[in-house]
Amino acid sequence: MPSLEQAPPIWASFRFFLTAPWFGVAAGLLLAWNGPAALTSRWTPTALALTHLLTTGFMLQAMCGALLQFIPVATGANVWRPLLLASLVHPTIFVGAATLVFSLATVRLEFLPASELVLGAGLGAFCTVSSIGLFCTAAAGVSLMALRFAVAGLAVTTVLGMLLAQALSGTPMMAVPTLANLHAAWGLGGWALMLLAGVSFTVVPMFQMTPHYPPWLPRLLPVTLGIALGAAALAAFALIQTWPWILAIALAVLCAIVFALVTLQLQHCRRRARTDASFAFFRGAMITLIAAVFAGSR
Amino acid sequence: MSAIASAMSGHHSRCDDLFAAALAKASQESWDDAASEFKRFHDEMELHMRGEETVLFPAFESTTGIQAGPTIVMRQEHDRMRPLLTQIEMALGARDPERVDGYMSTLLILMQQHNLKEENILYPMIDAALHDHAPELVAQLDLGRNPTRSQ
Repeated sequence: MPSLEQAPPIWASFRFFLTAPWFGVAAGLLLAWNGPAALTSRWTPTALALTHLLTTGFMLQAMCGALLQFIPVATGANVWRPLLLASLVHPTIFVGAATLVFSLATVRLEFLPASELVLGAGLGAFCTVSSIGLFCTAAAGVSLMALRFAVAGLAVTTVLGMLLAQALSGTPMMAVPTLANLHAAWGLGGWALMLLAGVSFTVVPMFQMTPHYPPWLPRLLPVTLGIALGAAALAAFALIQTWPWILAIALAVLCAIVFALVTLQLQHCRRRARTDASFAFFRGAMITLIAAVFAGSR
Repeated sequence: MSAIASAMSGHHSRCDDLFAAALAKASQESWDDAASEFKRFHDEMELHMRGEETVLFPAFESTTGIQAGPTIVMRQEHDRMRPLLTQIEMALGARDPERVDGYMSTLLILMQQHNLKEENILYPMIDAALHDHAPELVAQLDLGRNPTRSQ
């Protein structure tokens, strides 16, 4: 049975927020130090390090920390021993991300297996405990289905990252670019976009005083995005290069555009005149998401 | 959604609508209208909190024997919201847009987090424990209307 006393102490989340921004600072410094040459290709050591400073170091820490609070409050799900979980997951993400970035930036690929082992242990524990809570809850909020998919997306992204580390350190099971594309697709689509959508379904109407999302969106978006990512995996693992990729891209683009446009439309109909930071960030994010879709489609 | 959760969540929606109306008037600096809209909201909020504290929570506590549980946390949060409601009324009376906006933003965050916890955690627990007495309890709460949650 869910219980308010089991909502995690705020420190379980704060410890993630305390260290996450420093990875963003490090990304800025690294880019300033290396200059435009760092971004000439997605495969330069600096570009790979920058990507993981932002995604694994900054975003992942902030998202996991926030979920420890969000899951119990928004879905009524119990996260088992949140302080204990945070004390395992936080240091493993911190150390794993730092080692991963060091390994990629300096091309010391012998450190990759260690970083993946540490990240795999921490994220494996996080995904397992969160999933148990999310699948056992009797409550049924608008965010629940997307959060279940998002945690599954994080688990798949982690496994793909570990396979990628193995491929880069000498035992490739498939072409590295294909695996990297799949890892990025699941990380950005299955974890980041799915989580953002799931949180938005609750948070945007509640704090920005907009109308509710249309009921079909919280039901259809996770499934559609899940089918897109499944098709991408089929294309990569079955080495089918045509229709599954087209299906994956078409469905993912549809999800991103519909989610962004619906959110902007809801914001337009808000009952609160004041534009605060949360409102501005959400609007900026939705416009950026649409721009990213068009930039990626070129 | 079961009877108690449905009635209480519906009343949350009604309070949200009244709060939004007051906020809109305050944003336009229509101070008299904002004050009267806010008073309607304040009255409904007080009705809601008092109903929980005098009817729903005691029934839940006596049925389950859980005295020091989630209902204590909810009562504490009510006690945190009540002074804010008074401060907003004073700020509206003083026609001070900065204070009105600050206090109303604070109340919005406190109130929505509180509502989310009640709707997702506490009301389902209460519905499970008091299922057989739901119609009498909803009648006793006397929320004035028969609101339904708009999604």
